[in-house]
Amino acid sequence: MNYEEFIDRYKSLKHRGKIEGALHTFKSNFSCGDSIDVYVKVRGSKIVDAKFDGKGCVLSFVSADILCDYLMGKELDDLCELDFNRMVELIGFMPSVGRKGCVEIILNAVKSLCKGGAREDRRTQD
Amino acid sequence: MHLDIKKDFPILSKFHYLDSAATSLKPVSVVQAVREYYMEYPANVHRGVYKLSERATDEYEKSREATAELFNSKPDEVVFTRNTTECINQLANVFAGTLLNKGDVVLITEMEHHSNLLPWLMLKQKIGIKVGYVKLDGPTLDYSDFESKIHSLKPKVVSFVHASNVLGTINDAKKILDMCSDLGITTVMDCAQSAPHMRIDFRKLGVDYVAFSAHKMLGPTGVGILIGKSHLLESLPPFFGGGSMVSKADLQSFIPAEIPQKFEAGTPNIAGVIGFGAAVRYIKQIGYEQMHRTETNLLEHTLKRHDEVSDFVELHSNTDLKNSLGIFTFSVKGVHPHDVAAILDESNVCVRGGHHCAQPLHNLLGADHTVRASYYFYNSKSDVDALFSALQNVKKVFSL
Repeated sequence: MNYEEFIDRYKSLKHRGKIEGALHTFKSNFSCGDSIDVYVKVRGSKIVDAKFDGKGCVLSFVSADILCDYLMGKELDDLCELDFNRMVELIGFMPSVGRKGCVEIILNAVKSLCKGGAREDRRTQD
Repeated sequence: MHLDIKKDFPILSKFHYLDSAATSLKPVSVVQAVREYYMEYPANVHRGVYKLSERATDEYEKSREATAELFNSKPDEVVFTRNTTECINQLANVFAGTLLNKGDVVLITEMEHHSNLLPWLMLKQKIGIKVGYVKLDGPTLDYSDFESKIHSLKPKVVSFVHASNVLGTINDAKKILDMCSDLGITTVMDCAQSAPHMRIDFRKLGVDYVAFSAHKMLGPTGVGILIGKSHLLESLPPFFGGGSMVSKADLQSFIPAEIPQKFEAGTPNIAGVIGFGAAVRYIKQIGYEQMHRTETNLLEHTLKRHDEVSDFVELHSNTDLKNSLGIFTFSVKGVHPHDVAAILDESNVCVRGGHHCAQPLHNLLGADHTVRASYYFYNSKSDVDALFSALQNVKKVFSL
């Protein structure tokens, strides 16, 4: 991971925040104590807005920001198709084994939205 | 005997290894002892009467004797497990229903690593014991709270961390054990962090049980050591049932073996224990006094260097050189510990970022997670200087 490349995006995250009344879920990474809230607004079956908030490092927040970008205009059921390989494509590099969890936290949060686990504003925790 | 430390730990020529509180480096002699076992006498222990097996048993038991000598205990008081966590969990498990029943209190501290917190919380869930906590007074224990809770909560067990993996604080074991004496309290010390750095005189302290891990004191991973007073170990039920731990078995019942075999069911980590024997010999050669001198000097140098970066580096660990391990725990303002650790890694400075398996303590510190540099006798001032130089990179990258 090249910090210089990620740091600019980290300093101006597009999707950090909260959406009232949106689908919401929460995941945490026990190994480091990070947590992330994800909000997805759906109109019909399409995602029209996505935001995240929480505690995390540069990699977890930039991964979340990039994934929120990707979600715009997607069908809610498309989220089930997301996997780690797709995340690697989106962020542009393979994280080291010690940083895999930083990328997986947002992936797992978003994927849980298509499983019917948190399709309303309520908290679920890993 | 002169030891060439840099030659014994060749990795130090490539990395500034500052994560010894997680696991220490292993000297060449330990690696050679493990290799020698696998290449020259890779037989099981306490089984065969052929030469290879007898040599394996002999070397395995020599490690037990060396450990007993280092800690001033008897060899049959030394039990090999997998790690400190297993030692404390197994004690908690065998205390349940014997020493501890519903409503009984186990007193621990707010400074604990999860290894001396979760086993008792699990017992709370399982049989309804109560867990009491001794408060902190800054980076040290509040000893008046300790004394008061020993009398008010009337704990059956007092289990405490000897030295904190986050704060570096070395607790006054003698003072605590004196408070517990004559009250019939069973005492347990989590020595995972202290045993690698300081002499622990089991007999003189008068503690009932101590637990620590080989891998934090130059030995291989996968070996934990529980030392317990022999009459107490004799009174405990075995941890596991199976081979090696039994003296007689029929289809209806069994008679456990004598201590310590009673607690070592199945084939143990033979190579690991033999490697640990080599680690103990290495520690004896270095001597705890020299270790302490080196580590104190490193901490002193660290605290001086911290003054230069105190505008963006917040210190969390203990600064009392007399009562601290060589541990420097800090936060970089506004930067996640993983990011700090990753940027330091670019300069081959190896530190740990996270909550270090001590979440409740971090809650008390008001930090979700921190960065920790932890020293051992093989580190030098150049490692500390590399850390502070790399911290300037963190400042630059994040425009602090």
